[in-house]
Amino acid sequence: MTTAAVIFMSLSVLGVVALTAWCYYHVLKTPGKDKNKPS
Amino acid sequence: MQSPSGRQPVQAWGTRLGVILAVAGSAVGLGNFLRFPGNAAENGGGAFLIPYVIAFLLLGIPIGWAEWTMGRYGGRHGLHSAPAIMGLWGRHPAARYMGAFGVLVPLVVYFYYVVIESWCLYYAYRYATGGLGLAAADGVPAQVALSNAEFAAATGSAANGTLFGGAGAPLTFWLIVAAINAWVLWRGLSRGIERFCRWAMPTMAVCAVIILVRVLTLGTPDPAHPEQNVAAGLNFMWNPDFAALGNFQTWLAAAGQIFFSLSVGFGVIINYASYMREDEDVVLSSLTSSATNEFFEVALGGMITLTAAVVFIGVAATQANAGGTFSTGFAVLPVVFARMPAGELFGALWFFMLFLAAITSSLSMLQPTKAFFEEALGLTHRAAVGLVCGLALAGNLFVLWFSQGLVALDTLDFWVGTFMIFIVAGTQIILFAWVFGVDKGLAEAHAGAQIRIPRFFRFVIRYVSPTFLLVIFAGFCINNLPPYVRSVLGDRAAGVPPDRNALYAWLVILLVVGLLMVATAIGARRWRPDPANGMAP
Repeated sequence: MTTAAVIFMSLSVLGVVALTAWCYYHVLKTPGKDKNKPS
Repeated sequence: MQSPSGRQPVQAWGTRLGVILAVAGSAVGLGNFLRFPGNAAENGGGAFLIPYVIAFLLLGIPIGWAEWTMGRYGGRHGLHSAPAIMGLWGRHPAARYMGAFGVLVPLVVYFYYVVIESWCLYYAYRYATGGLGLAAADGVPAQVALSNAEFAAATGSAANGTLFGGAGAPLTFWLIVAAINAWVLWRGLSRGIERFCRWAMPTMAVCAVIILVRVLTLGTPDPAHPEQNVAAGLNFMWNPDFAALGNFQTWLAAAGQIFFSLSVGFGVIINYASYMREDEDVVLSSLTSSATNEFFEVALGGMITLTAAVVFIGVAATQANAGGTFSTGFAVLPVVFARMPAGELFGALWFFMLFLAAITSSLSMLQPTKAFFEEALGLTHRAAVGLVCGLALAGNLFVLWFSQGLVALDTLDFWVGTFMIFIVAGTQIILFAWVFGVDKGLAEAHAGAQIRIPRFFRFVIRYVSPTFLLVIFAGFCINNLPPYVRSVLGDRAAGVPPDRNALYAWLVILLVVGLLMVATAIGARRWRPDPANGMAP
């Protein structure tokens, strides 16, 4: 496996994992905001 | 609580995570696991990710924000269907009729998508009960030929009506899948779609991670072929070819991949977001569902499919056979599972995962049409579910009967599942940025938002996204339109008659368009201007 392939693969995979983790952290960190009140 | 018409109980998402997973479930489909890796390997490998990320930033994320915002704004005015909501944003009856295409897309895509979904469940069942019997054949070409024969039998691609005269197993699986979809639709938004996605999305991720771990620990399974190993497989997918960046096709493929993968312009997000609370965040929610889709596509799809193929059949055979979504999924991967230790187990797990990816998408396709019939025709939940399921059943039977060469399926996919999505997404971004106004639109997006949209996206949404979309639409038409037009109209100069199945597929599209336009005209009477809520004239 070439060094360039390792770099592109690592950056891409770590990038999407970090973005997804960051998003879910912020979505879930506010307790009580997640649940909808019954209408 | 009742809707403004007083006839329907108001539906809503149970939780914010529920709507995020439902939208992500709609976006994650077969393309994430089968189309993305092939597209990337063909168009520059790792270098493909450069235009891909650019398209994600300039096209996928901005149009997603626009669509989520439009949907929530419509919901605040008691509207849930694309025609009503786009009429509200466009302030002109024409916008309403353009919105009807936002109902056409998910409904007609459902006609064939459920059939593909049933193939996945059927294959999962076959693997769980002993596999396809490919291991008995010698050599990759013989196994690929057997695999193709199995696929032809499962899909009835040899001739029209084949499936109805055969053993009946594929039709049984279609019935099971159609029944599950109808049942979830019947249960409603929160108790049906949301509950299903909250279970299915994590299950799909677990299945994918198990398969990923298996693929990454394969090592060099055949000592006679030391070049067929995991590192070579990953290299095949990720080794960057920077020369490809100078090719317009690479940029077109990357933008197309992002655009279709995120399900923007599909008519689903606008409907789903309309059931959110008016003070609920759309900016972070939209980004989170897009990120989830990218996680499945890049971190899982990009690591599993072609790596496994190269490890077991080598680079040359992978290049020769893994050209499209169906050939990768249903011709190459069965050969891989035939050669993999415990291949039946992993084959069953893989096709069950694809089934989950497909069903979380198909579940989202009937809800917009159901909401439209409730809203436009004043139907009750029960009547709307009945009408939508009746139409879906007729559409499925059309695709199942006219199965020769999968031409009817392909025609519906091209004209509605691809061409029309450009039209809907283009209309949405124009309405958001130019008719409603980008500043008002962004202010609306920021209501209740947990994060702020960076200022430079004002320029992106107003100028860059519409231009980008127009350019890839033009490139797409130049590349793909002529053969599809010829298949419907025939080629007089070459003495080629129209393809009968393509022609019938076109008639189905026209029939559905006519039905939706009439329903929109009827619905327009209900969506008269209301000084209290500023509805469209």
